Amino acid sequence: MAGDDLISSYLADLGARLPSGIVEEIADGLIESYERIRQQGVDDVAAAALAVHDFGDADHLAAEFVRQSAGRRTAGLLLLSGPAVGLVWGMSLVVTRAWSWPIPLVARVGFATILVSTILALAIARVARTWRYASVAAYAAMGLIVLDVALVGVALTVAPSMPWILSLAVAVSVSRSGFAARSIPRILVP
Amino acid sequence: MRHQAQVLKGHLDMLLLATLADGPRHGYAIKEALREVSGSRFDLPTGTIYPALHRLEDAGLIRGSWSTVDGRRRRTYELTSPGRRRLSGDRKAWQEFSCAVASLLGEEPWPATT
Repeated sequence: MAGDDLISSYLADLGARLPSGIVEEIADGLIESYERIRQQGVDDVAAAALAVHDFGDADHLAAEFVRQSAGRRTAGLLLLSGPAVGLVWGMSLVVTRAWSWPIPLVARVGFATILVSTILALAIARVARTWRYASVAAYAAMGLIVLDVALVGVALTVAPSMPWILSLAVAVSVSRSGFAARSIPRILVP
Repeated sequence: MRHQAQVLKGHLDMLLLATLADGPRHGYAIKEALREVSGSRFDLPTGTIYPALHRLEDAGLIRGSWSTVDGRRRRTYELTSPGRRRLSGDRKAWQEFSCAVASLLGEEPWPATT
């Protein structure tokens, strides 16, 4: 196998695991490394092998990118903050007797379905070993925005009063939605 | 030296930010700067550097931009204002830490305790 083929094969392996932008960046560094080694008088195939060895095994490199990806880290932060946000909303709904609010059953079921799906998607992204699964965090972030907007909308329009705990819950949801919205492009376009 | 790679990982962010203090560099140039400035003592595997650069960019400490060099697309990084502040803080903390360790490891006798 010629040096070019070795490098192409390595980049193809990475291309199957990582977004094209990252692979282009790696390709630039890999080719520069290969050319510098060649300038030291090393033959074509050995130079390519040395350059590839320096970058490390494709599986390991891809796994390291996934481990440090915005998707996995965002999923971790949202999962970590979830119980606190849920507690604040839970207390608010009890204080304001939310079970008596005029909300249709279909809306309640729809909310519960999105909530469960979002938590599941966050868990999948948090433990992801591939870029594709880590990127699921973007869809989970969208789900959280929908949930937060729904909660805030209902609180502002249906709740009979606005005790301080409900105001806090609204503020927390607005803040979380902003974080989730900022995270989505970072997850999808590395 | 390769056996120092694990030790260096704990300080990787600070070292990467330091290589960008004098101006923008791309990934491979950052690795070479680390190696050259350290007299080949810090020769990290290149595959360690790129994911860390992406993490630092995501944290807003560095900013990446694309250009074309020799027909290849190249991503070059530079420090942001928060990155400069972080580097400044890391330098100060490191200097204090290294001074303290140097004092402890020096040949001067330790003060007697009661």
